[in-house]
Amino acid sequence: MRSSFFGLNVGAQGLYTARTNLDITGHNISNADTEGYSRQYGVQKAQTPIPYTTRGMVGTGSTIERVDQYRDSYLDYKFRDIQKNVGEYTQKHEMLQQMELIFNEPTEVGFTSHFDNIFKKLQKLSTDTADFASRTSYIDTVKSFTKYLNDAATQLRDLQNEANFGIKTEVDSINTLSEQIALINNQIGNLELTGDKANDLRDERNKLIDKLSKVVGIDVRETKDVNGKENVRITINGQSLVNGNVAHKLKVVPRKNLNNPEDNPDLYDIKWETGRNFYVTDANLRGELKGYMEIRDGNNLNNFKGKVMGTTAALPGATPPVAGTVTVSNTPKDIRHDLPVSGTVKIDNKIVEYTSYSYNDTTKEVTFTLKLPTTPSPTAKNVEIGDSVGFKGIPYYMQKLNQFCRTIAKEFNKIQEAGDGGTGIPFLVNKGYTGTPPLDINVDSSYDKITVDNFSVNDKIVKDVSLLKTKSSDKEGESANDLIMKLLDLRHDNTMFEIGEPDNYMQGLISELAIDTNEINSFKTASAQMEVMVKNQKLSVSDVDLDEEATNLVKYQRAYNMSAKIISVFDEIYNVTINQMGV
Amino acid sequence: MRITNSMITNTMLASINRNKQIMSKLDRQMATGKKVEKPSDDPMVTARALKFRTSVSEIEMYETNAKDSNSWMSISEQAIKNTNEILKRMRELANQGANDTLTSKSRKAIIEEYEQLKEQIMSEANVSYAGRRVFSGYKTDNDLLFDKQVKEKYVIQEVFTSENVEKIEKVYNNRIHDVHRIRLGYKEVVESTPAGTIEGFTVVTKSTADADAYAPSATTVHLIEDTGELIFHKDDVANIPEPLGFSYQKNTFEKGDPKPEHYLHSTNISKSPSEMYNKFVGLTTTTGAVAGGTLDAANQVVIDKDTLLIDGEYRMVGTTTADTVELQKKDGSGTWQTIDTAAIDTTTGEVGFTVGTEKVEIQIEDYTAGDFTAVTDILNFTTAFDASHKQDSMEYQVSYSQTIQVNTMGFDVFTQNMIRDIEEIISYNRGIKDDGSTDDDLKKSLTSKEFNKFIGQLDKHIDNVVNQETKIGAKVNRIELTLSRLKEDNLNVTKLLTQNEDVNMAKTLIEFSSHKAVYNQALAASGQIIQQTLLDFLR
Repeated sequence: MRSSFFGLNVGAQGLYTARTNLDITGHNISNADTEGYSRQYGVQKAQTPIPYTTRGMVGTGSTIERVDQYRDSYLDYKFRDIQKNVGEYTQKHEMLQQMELIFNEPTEVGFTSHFDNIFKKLQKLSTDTADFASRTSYIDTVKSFTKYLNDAATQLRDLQNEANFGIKTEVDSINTLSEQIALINNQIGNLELTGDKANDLRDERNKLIDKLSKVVGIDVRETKDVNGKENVRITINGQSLVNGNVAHKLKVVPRKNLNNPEDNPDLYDIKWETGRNFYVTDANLRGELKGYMEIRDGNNLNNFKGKVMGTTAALPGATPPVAGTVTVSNTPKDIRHDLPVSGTVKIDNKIVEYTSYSYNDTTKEVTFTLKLPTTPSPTAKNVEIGDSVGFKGIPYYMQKLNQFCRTIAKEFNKIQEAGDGGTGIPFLVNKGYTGTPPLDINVDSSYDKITVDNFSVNDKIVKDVSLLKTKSSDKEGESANDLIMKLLDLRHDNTMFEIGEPDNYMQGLISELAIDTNEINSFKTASAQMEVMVKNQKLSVSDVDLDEEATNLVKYQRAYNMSAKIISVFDEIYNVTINQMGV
Repeated sequence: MRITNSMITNTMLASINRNKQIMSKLDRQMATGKKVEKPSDDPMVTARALKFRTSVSEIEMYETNAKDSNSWMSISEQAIKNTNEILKRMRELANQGANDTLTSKSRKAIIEEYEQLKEQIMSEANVSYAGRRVFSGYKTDNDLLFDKQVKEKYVIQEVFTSENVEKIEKVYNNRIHDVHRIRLGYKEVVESTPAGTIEGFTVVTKSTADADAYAPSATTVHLIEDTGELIFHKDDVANIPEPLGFSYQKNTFEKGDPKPEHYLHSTNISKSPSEMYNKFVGLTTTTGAVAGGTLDAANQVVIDKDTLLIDGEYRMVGTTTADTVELQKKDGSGTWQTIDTAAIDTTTGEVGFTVGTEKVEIQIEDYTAGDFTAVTDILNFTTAFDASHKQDSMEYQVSYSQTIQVNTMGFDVFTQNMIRDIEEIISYNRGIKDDGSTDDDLKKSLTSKEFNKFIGQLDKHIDNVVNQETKIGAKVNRIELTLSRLKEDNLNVTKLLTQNEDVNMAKTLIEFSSHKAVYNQALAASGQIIQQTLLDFLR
């Protein structure tokens, strides 16, 4: 037998439902502009009916079973997948643009103008070799050319430090984000044990994960633990970053040795705080972190590489102790021989320290003297220094510039040293060049000490311009200019570089940078457009629409009014029953 | 698809932003006038721009060089033209002088004018462009002719051929004699140390004061120091060696004398260290028979090109001390004369001798210690100079891999013969003393003949000078052509450069306006959409 106040209860139930719906709508409206907020809705349901005599069941009104949110986890996945590209390309593009500015092309003060000027002054000098002013102005022009290259090197180094600092910042933000995610994971787990859904906390967590996905490529998985506690697991390169309420932290460690000979000292390596290795070169590592990393370390796969040709064992007991050596060659290609004086070398992926190295010009082999008492493995095959990074980053351009400086120096010196019956001294040298050990035009490796950082005109010639040789024979008169003519020919010497004339080399380098920047820019634009598209898809599902909410507002208000009407109807009924039927 | 308010706002903002980016790019292009600001804006345009700029800067420099060489050549051309005028004036005067009826007083006047004209030639020969002597080859800081009297000692070596032997008429012993002579480059010379030798002859030093100066006996050569002549006996003319190398010394130079360093193989021995001037293309040595010891064909002799080892046959003869040798030269009578003794550096095979005042370095190739141990170890060699003058070619680059020689060598224009010829006509006339002696009368009677001879010589010199002038004229023409081509090149490349990197203003402006219109429309529409929500219509 149903209660006499059954109808009143149904009305009251309607009031509650409408009221809850109005609350949800209000919550939606007030969060319409909250970032990362997903609109919520009440899951409304008819209450369990009760049997009504023999004529069937009668409904007992409605109820809000739970509050849920509109969210598509597939779109979340897709969005994060794109975010890692956006992060990587945005950082790369920004850094590459800065690199472009360093070269200052195409302007009147870029490389081309500087190089043009040298040959202009040489032409002038060729027509008046004895003129003191022509000599001085030629030397000054070469000086400002070397200064331009030195400046470019300094700026590239600054940029590398900037990228390095960027890496540290990214690591910090990974740590902060992972910690926050772990915290929210814990809260959600606890709250949801009751079976309810912690919508707003989930939004908060998703927002953090979205942020993280821009910093580094991550893998996100929702799991349930044995207690039925829901949580999110995040991994980088398969290594766990967040697991439930535990966040694994990363740290940066300054390198003791240079990876690329062109690198700045004290660049950071990334490691897990537990001491495990963090695989920076992994192809799946994306995001801003990779952007910075490749700009900082990119050497276009051209790090020191070779195969072991022979080893000698260390004899620590001998007096004096004898260090082990390993001899490396890279046939048929030329082996790099411009290495840090001492550092580390990877022999079959095992890192070993070396105290010195030597290069044999005839056999094209490099021999490392390892730190005592290391004995190199005689069966070792591959030897490497640093990592092969397949991107044209700062080390790549530094290396190219070094090669340019060394080649130009050698070609100029070759002509200069032939002056006045072979009495000329080197013209282009490393800063502070004393003559010992000498720059020998016949020994390639002697020019290794010239780098784009220290490239300069020999101080002795700057101080005494008469040391600048213009003729090959000291028996000739002052106006003989055969050497200057030879220098002028260098400009169109297409055997100087693999790519041809010196102009081609540098223009090629600038074009490479331009094409890369252009390409990265189009990747960036494409992924940004993709991001907007997916974001819109996400919004389409989750975003609060004010028109919709306004409709709901009206709808639920009406529902509330009607429920109130029901109560008032039953009230009248009870009035009749109680007051007028007169018991 | 469900569209929400923020989606509309986002999309709208994104579009407006894109529009703004394009407008900002166009705005920058219009402000700078360039299509590219950074290489990545358009890598292709940038690469081409860099190439074109290099081309323009190169062409500009070629233009400067071409103009420079033009001025240089104009200066040379003018100097040669003036010289031509001087020579013509000399010829006019010579015509007068050749007139038999002319008094000696009038002839004196001609000679005085010649002296003035000779000085004029000197100033033309020493002409300079921007402080550099144009006729001195690479030695632009060095006059071609002495501009004042100087006392500097030079050892000079000259090489003659049979063409240099001439038959002239000389008056002595009250008669006119035929004399066979070779004229040296200078008058007032002295014997060098060691004395110059001629193979097969004995050289005797004489002066015109000596009665027999012009009458050497057979196989004797007279070196007349004051006139600078080598006199041969008439029967010996056929036996004069070919080529003939002869060395002598000169201690004083007159104003207008050619500087030996520009004309002849010479050493200035008053300077310390001595300055060597090699005006010859090269020295060739031939290693002859090797006699005795362990010397073999591999022991070739290499001599520094600049040494003053005069032409002839030489040998190195071992001594009783191992690796110490004597340098010997075969004299005119075929006897070996020892010049110096020195020890050989057994590692390099080098040995240094002193010849006269000059240090001579000789290297024996493939030398091993002990090759020279006895007087029977002999290494023979001969030396010979190539007598052709070395052209100092001052090259200017006036186009891609195209150079032009701007200078003319002084010795080609102001030849030593020209100066000697003028000198001789002057000294011939100065030699007439009007003392009434038979010799003097005979000399007087030959004067018109001498003037006629001088006219013939002048004609040759004028031909030569005109020839040099023509050569320069041709080069000036070439330079002018090159200049006009360079101007055209410059114009073309600049045009390409502009087309490549400069903005087409009209096009950019139109593009900018159309984007601006779109932008305004977008703003207006956005304003409308953003205002409206359902709430606006609910009461």
